[in-house]
Amino acid sequence: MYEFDSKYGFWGTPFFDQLIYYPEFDKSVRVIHDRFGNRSTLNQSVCDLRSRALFLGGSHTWGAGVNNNETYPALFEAQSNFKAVNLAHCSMGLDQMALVLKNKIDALKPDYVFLEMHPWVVHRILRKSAIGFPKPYFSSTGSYTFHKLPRIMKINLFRNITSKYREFVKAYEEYLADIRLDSISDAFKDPIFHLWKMRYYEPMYNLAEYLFTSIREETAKHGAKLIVILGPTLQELRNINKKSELINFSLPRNKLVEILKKNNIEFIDFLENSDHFNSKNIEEIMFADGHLNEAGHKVIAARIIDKVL
Amino acid sequence: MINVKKELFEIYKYNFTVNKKSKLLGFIFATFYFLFTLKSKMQKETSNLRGHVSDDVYPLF
Repeated sequence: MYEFDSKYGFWGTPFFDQLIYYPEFDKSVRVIHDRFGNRSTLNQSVCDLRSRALFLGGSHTWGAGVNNNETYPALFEAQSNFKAVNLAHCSMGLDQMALVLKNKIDALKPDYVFLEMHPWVVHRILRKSAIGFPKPYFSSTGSYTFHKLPRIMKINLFRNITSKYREFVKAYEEYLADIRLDSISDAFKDPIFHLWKMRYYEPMYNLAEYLFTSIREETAKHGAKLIVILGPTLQELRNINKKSELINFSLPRNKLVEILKKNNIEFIDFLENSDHFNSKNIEEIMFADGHLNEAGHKVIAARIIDKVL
Repeated sequence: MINVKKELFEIYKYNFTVNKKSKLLGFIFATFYFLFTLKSKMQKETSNLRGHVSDDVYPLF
């Protein structure tokens, strides 16, 4: 389903078409990638004169657990006059989304760019490898430096070693900061929600702000409108009524909302005016693992249509 | 001066007591990580020493 990509670390395999069984959802879905490796809708034609809407994001937007035509970009396309181009892929971080946009916006000339991330996934910008592939990343030494993938990464052996080495280093550096991601048994132990770990995560939010502003500038330069979608996070919905002064499951969402407001970036906050969803009925919109189900995709599509049309 | 023995001990201790993946691979990675970061750690140490004599460090004094 995924293969190495020298620009983004990994990307969808072109012409992929398989029925995949997801044990966590206990269902099979047909995953189809177009010739560019994107999860396209079945009625996509090469010459389409409709206005374009680009969708960047992770597995929610890609549509883990649902068929191509059930993803919210496909639903948005079916209910509007836009051609939806789904450029999302599982495990993508905000840094990779920024790179995808920079490389593809010129050719695709979109009117809208929708960037979906449920707030918890902001941590992905700290990773230097994902799903077994080394990825490009940004580091900060006063100013931000972009580290692209070296050419040697085209060789499978070096890629595997580098990926494992980067995972080792990340785990060690987190261990020095008293963070043990391998021993998280429930959301209460996830350091991203701990207020006393904010000092460790502050540079991550600063980098997120830098990436959001870069994306905003890139879209504005090309005359497109950027809308960020802060989707639902399982841990947050499951513990929505559990308030604590030291553990806040809305911490990443609050930080991202603050960043987006500060930089005048339009966004759709899924939890805003969503009192209907709580710890008891989240299965209406989510699978047990936190991915959006068919109804969840419909809710997101409706929220986008409300905002745009 | 950075304490080379302590730094090495710390990362090897992590590998053999905490790291749940391959210990041998971890040992090799730990050695490489230590060597790769040694130079930057020494530079940081030097700049800390420079900062130590600055009034900015202890403005109250």
